[in-house]
Amino acid sequence: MVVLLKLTGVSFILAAAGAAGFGVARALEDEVSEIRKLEAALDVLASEVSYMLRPLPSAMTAAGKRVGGAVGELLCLMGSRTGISGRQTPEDVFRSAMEETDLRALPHFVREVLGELVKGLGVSGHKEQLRLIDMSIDRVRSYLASAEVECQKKARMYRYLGVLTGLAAAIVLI
Amino acid sequence: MVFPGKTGLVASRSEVNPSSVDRFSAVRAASPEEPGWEAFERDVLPLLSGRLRGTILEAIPRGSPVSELRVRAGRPVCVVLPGRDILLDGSSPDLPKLVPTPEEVSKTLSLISDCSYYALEAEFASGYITIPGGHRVGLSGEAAVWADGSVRIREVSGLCFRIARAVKGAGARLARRLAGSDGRLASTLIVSPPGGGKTTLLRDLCRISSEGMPEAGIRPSQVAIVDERSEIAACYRGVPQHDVGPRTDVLDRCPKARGIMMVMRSVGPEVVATDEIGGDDDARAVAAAISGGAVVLATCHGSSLEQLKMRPYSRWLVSGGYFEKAVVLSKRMGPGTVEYAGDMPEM
Repeated sequence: MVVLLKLTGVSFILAAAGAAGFGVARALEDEVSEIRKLEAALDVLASEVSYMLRPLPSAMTAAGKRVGGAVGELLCLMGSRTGISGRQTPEDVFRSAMEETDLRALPHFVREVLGELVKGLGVSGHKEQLRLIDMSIDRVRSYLASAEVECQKKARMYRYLGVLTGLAAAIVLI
Repeated sequence: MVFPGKTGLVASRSEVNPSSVDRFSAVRAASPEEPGWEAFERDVLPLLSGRLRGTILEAIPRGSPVSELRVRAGRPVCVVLPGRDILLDGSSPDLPKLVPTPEEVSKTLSLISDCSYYALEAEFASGYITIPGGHRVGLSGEAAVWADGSVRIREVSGLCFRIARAVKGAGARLARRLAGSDGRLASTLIVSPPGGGKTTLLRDLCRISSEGMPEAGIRPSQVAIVDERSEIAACYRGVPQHDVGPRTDVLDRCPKARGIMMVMRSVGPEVVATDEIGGDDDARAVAAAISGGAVVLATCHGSSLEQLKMRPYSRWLVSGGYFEKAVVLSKRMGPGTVEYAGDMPEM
């Protein structure tokens, strides 16, 4: 009976520690995934703005729908509230969107890039707009390259760490 | 005939038949296109900051037929009504002082351009933007001349909102005189000085052609409007804001000469309408469209048919017999005074 109880306890500890490790790893991967979505969204935005000359609200909505995720959700929200129908500028909408709880889940880097970008969106000619978006894309790409390597390393480390911590705790308790 | 008033239209005389002095009564239909308070409150006021909006609503009697709103950075807001204006300069106790800041003008400009300057560069270059409802916002400020000779307004400090108006029925009585033999209007040249009402008349003739008017012997036709200055249909994102009829295609902001050839090839119109023929290319395109079987309704600046002889392109069009009918408008008894309507005289 005691052995059975010990085995049950050990498996609970292993599962909990493993889940914690995998959870942290997953969060890291999600962060990288959102940054990839931001890169894709900026590509779409550049194309909509520069080649299609589509008005900013519908360009943001189109980019948001294309990429999905938290980034996509934010862009769709901005598209619906910006401009002549929403009566707000992209900067105003971004500021108020950031105060909404669900969008706080966006990685800090994504918020930083978008926060900078919205200050210049829609206020200059299409060449300048393309240059502005391209600068953001470059910044995202260089960050993404290091973030992906870092994420691979750290995600594996957290998974191992979770399982091994669980094992260590189990051995000590046994 | 007089467009803006609600009293009716006045035809002063007809050069073809001087005895046919008559008084038209095309009363403006109450519609969302009606100028005045409703459109002002619905389409223009929400674009202003809360402070400007609130003060204007307090200062201007509700229901006033507002025709223009002028917002200038650092100077009092001016609301223009027919025959007078109200300057919100605080000069009397019931008149508050309302001076917009440059930031308020800038934010309003951002909203009216849909936060999309890049998509409206051509409009900024031409000095005005069309907003939903068909209203026009004229821009003023510091201009910059680019190396290619084009002019842009670099620092916009003034916005002039002009409330759009359409006078449904403005062309109803004239349509009878302008009807052709094949159930369409005949190719017609409308001549008028600026502000004489030629675009208003052209717009209504487009609607009549598109809807048909059996009592005038006009059947419904496929109409194409080449609207280079976005004045006829007042499109916003390609959608006409004025009623130009159910069978009407609009090619918005396209140069006339190219646009006429494009619509002739692409949408096969029975009637083509365009505003302000202003050069040899436009005249050639109009001639090509008429030769191609379309009826062309067009306008031209001038105060009489005689003046058409003074410009080579209009002389060429008229002497070539392309237009069967002519209408001359003036402002003698208010915009839309018909000085002549009938067959195009030989020149």
